[in-house]
Amino acid sequence: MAVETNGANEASANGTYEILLRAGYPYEQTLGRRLVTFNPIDLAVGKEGRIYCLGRGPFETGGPLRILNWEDEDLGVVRRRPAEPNDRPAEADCGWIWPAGIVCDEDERIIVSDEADHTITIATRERDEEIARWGEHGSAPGQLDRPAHMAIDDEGRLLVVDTMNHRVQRFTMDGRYIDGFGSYGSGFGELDMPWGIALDGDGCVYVGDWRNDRVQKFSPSGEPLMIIGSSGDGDGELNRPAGVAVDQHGDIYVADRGNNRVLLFNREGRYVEKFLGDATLSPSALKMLMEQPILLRQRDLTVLEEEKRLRSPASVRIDGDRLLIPDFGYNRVQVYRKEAYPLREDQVAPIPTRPALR
Amino acid sequence: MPGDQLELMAHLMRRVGVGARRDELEELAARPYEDVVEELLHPETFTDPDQDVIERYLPTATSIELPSVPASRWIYNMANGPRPLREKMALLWHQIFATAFFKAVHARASIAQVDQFRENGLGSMRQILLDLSRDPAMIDWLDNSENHADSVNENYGRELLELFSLGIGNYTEDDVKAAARAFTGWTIVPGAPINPYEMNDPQFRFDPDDHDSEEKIFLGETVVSGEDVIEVIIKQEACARFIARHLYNFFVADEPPVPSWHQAPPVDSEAIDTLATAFLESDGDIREVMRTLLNSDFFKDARFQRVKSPVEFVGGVIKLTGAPQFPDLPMSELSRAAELMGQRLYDPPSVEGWHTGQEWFDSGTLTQRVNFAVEQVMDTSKPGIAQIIERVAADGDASPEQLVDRCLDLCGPLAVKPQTREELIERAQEGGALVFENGAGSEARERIGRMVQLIVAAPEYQFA
Repeated sequence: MAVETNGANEASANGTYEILLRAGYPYEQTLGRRLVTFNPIDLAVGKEGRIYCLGRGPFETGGPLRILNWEDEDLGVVRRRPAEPNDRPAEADCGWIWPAGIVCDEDERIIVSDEADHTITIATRERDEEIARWGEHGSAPGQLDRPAHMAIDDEGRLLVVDTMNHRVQRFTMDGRYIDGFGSYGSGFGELDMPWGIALDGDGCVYVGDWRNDRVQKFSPSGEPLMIIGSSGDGDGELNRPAGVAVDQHGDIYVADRGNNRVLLFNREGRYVEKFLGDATLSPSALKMLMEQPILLRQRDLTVLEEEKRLRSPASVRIDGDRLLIPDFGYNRVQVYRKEAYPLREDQVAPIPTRPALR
Repeated sequence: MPGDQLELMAHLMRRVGVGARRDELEELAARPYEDVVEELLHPETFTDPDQDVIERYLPTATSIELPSVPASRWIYNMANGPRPLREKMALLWHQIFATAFFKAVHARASIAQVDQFRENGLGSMRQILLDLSRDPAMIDWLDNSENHADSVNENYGRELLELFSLGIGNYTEDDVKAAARAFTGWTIVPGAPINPYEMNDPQFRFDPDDHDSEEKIFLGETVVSGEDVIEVIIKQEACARFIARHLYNFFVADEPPVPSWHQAPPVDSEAIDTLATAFLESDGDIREVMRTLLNSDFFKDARFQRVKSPVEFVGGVIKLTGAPQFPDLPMSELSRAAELMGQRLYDPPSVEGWHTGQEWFDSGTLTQRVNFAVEQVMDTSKPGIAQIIERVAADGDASPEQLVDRCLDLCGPLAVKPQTREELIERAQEGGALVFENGAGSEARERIGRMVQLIVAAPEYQFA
């Protein structure tokens, strides 16, 4: 059904809106499957619909950094080390040890953090090994202790969540330290083992403050601006939040890992809704199952409700109006598509002076 | 404080856990022994710190092919958690109710079973057996999902009596049949299969249409249901003695292999009598039986009478070294280390569990043990080793004999045979007296570190 929006459904120049008419956020599709997108801990969307899905296997095996497209086709893997003759494509160990985060830059170079060796690796899909790696273990400015998620600012600089140093650090892409902010604690602006990071259209920084069960918003220069969420499992509450994302409307998404869900807050930090998971069979899962008579019978005999839900999501990513959730415990990616219409101020009544029942 | 109190506390902590650091021991030894025991018997009063951190870096959700991650976490918690007895009780029940991962290849079910042991391991035997009988991993393992009213499968009924509660010689074939019939209809609803995404949790289900609801005679009593069978089992003196012997074997001293128990008498019949009486008088309250055991003289006197299982050995070594304290790669390798020594958690070799005592040893596994221990203590920067070195150094210059005795004291205290002590002293004499003055402190510390390596390689270190 066509909706009259007075042309307001396009993002404004400065990317900010006062109010959205939220039409819905329907589930769209599932990508990947077990042994292809193996324990996805983060993902990045590159050019031409390429989706880089970062696997985190048990122990030191890392996992595949798998490239998919929106048709769920397997486009291969990206490696930190050269392929070996006995590498099995489905379970490719691409050379990372404890990969934690991934971003793509404008040239579609792939940047991966590794929590085991405290490094940042730069690779490309064309080459069978890394093109650069940097990072030194420590707590001094510019050193890293378990780097987690990353974000790239509008000047092409890399912001790295430095988990065990409880801070965010900014580097050039070749690893030169620029600046950083954050310190250990639970007070306003303090961090405790942060994990996720995202930037909004104004360059403000959102950090998944993992062990404080909240997200914090900082100015581009690192001044604390806002706390989002609190401990718990109710609406708007968080249990060890991991990844965080911000979309074109300023909506804030949080991978509420301990509660097996993703929460959506508006730009003011007000809770809006949650995503519990609605997975269906991805094309690759469907294809695999159709060739497995035993599995077909097993599925016919089991209760499938639980299989729809998210399990320990560690990340959440935005691509245009799509929401992508790497569904860590289920070895897949769930995708939703936002339908919302930004409104002009004159379309909406003033804020009421008191709550009313109607 | 009396040295014996510290040694007694070290003994207690080796048995209810995998050992304790020297500073922990000194703190514990300053308290009445019975108070410490009482605290250990109530793990529910403690919370596990940092489990969320462990989950972040070693997530259970990666345990698809083999529950190695929870196995490593289990060993880590045995060494570093505030509830060692809870973890050891889980290990005990895992040993007795041996359910191997290899058959079902269902990590979530295997993990859930051990979690259940962890939760109710000090509870009533009645509840433990009820939970076990409803456990999906067990139902699958012993085929009770194939135990139908019109087609009885005796596997679970038989092992319940033979290996889980009474032991051979304390029931008849008719009792096996009756027990099996009573458990008909105790089945599972499987979760979604592992492909294409991940497995889901199976659930217990009682199917009344598949249950033989006629009366049966079991051990001379009339029963209908599985619950009735367990109620009869709990009252049996044979059950009390069977569980008592398992507890003795696990916490006090090595018994002969379980399959020979119907022929071989207990090592200490009086102790078994005491524990069995506690079992019967408490209506099968395992916490009460453990209270009796840990406060008994036969327990207090049984120092170094048990061969450490691989899991206990690995846990003990990381307790000694104080590392890893934070989830890191070495922590993830703990289960592998125990596996190389012959004990893969969640995967006992058969329904009989692992054979314990001297049967843990062969040339290969013993080599693995020594190599692991020496490799772990070799890094003198690890906090536990660094603490030992500094405490030895704090006492100043030492003769070779004093060096050996100080290190033995701080590595346990570890009691060794005179011959072992002589051999250690001979090695210490190669470097002469331990001297810290005139710039010799660094070399002296290295020698202390090397002595610790020799001690963990000594035969006595294999015993708890």
